Amino acid sequence: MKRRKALQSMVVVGAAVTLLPACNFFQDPLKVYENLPLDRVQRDVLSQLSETILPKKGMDKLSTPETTLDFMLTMLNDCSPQEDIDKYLAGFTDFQTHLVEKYKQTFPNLKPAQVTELMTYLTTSEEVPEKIKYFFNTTNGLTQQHFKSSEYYLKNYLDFEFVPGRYEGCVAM
Amino acid sequence: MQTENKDHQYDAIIIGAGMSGSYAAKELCDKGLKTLMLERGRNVEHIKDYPTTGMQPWEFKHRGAIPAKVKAENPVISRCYAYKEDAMHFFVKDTEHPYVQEKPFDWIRGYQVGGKSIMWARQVQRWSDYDFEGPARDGFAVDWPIRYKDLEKWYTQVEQFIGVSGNKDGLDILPDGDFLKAFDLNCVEEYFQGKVKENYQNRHVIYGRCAHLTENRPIFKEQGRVLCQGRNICQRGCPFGGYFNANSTLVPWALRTGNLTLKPHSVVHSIIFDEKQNKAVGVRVIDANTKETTEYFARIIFVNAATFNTNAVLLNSTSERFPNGLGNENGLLGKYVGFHNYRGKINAIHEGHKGFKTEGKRPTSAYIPRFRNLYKQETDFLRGYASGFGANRYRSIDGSGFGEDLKNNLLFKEDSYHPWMVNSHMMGETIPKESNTVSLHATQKDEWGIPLLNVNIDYDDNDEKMTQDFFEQLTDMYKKAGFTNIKTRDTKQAPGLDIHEMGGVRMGNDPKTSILNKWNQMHACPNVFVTDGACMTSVATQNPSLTFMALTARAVNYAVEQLKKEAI
Repeated sequence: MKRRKALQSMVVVGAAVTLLPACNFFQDPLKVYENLPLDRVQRDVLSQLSETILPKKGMDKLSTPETTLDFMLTMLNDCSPQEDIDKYLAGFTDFQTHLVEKYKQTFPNLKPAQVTELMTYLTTSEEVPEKIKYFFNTTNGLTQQHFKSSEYYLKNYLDFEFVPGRYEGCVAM
Repeated sequence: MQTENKDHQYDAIIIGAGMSGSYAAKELCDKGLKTLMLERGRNVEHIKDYPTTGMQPWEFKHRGAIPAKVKAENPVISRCYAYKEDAMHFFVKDTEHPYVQEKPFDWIRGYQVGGKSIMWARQVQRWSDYDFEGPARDGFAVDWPIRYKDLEKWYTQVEQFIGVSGNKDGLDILPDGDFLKAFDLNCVEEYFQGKVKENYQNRHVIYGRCAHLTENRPIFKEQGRVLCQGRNICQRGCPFGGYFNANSTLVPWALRTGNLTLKPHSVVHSIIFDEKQNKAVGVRVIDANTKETTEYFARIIFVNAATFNTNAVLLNSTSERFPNGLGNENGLLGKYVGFHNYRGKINAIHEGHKGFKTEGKRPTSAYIPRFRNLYKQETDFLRGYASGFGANRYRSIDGSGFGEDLKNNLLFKEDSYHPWMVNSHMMGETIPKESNTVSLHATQKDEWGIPLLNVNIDYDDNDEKMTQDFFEQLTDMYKKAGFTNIKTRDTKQAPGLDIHEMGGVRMGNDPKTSILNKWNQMHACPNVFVTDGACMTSVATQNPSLTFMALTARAVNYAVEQLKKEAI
């Protein structure tokens, strides 16, 4: 029964992945990224993957104007050439297929141990297929970029000063 | 047709409101001349029109990056180091003002009041007689009609007005000026300075003199400027007026005299030459927005449209007397263009000084004045190069792992510094050649009906040999300092990305071989003066803007004297 249910839900999710870009099943309008045909479910996957890469729960406020997901989507949509967006989306599809093949699950439904195994594989294995590697590295890079360019990180960890008013060329550490 | 409209009559007209044009405005207005300054772009008022100057790094939607569509549509400007999200509104996009590249040339432009002075790199090194005497000694271009002594007091006047931070270095190759105090060189730059002194006789590492206020003086208070705060985001425009640009310093000053009329959105079509009076009498202007044509008249005209556009305006100013462009009796207008060779880069690691770092920021770095072929010809190429030198130490950030591990890696703070990284870039003198030209396209025109500019400029064998020498000599200097992991890189970038194009309307003693005389005055049309980069006979290695302004101040002084004598 469990296997049957899992397969059923995979079919539903699979159908949603296929159909959602063209449909609006939700009341809240999705922010439009004209070059990125990603529906709410897919965006949730990206958001959860990003949070898994770098969990920010329990931390001080990042003080950025946007969420990490919005930043990632904005950068992909606005600053990536179309061929890179195509590569990213193809990698995303392969990533999801990989999860279904290996875990018979979608990303949000993975168990903690499976998440750990997956993330270890993605961050350390040299056998990750090229497309999936591109997708993961891009998501990882944008997640870290958002974090490292936040007010929180710049001020607390990079000693950023907007108006330093001085230059000291030889400070003993 | 000359009009009687008194609103269109001035004592002087300046074409172009960038750095040299605005300096001309300040000088002419100070001397009491009713002056019209025309600018093809929009007005940019100090502070009010710096929309990004107060923005924090995290407030930029793309964290500084340029959108892919903009990059794809504008490949030339996208290659400029300063064309980033925070200052992109000050640069001309390729699509807005096309030009024809017979050979690749990255033409970097800023069409607005203030021109490129808003986004410039602010390096201001004087020329010396090793530069002015170069063409005569080494047999290229023509002899400069002036020497250092002719320009010395004007350099001082400009430095005192704009504010220049520097050290008195006592070098013959790079004369000292009236400097404000210097920022620090850091400990690795001082270390390299010592190593170079120890190992070479005529090589020097000095502080790069820059147009920043580091001391208060009454003149700066009068200008409404205060000390540089070391923000290092000058390209956005500075609310402190901490660095010099035309918008904070020259334009408001000239406006306060009551003598300046500033007209943005004014595209100059041509200079009007009156055959009967045998002189230039005014300019023909097309409104950038309405396309309406208006004529303005004056006794003298200063052409400061920035090197290539100055050439273009003159080439487009045809008359019976000058069918090939104003003042172009010898066919040299648009020829002998030069630029700076910025292709060479070198970087390395310095393993020493591990117990030290820097704090705060400064708007300059160290500078190595030209040492090649200085006192005599010593290589198989002519002239030489100056170089920058910078040493920086950055936090080491470990972005490996995932989850809590990654978070802990990113937030690990203690002693997490890379070793010092050192780097230099080449600033090579190119030889102005007849074959390096700008000209007007025979058929293609812009949306104002003005012919597009053809650019036909390239490197030559001298540049190739000089680039190799830069790599060899800098590698040797780096090795002697004990730097490791030395890497050189020839960017192969097209000419133009140096943003130091010069020439086409060169100065000289002989009207047969030059367009301008020693006062930047046209040999063949004496009430027209050219004092921007177009006037340069050769290009030396120094960042040229300071010299443009000094030449401008000197030429204005002469022009006004001549007007008083009714000699022009």
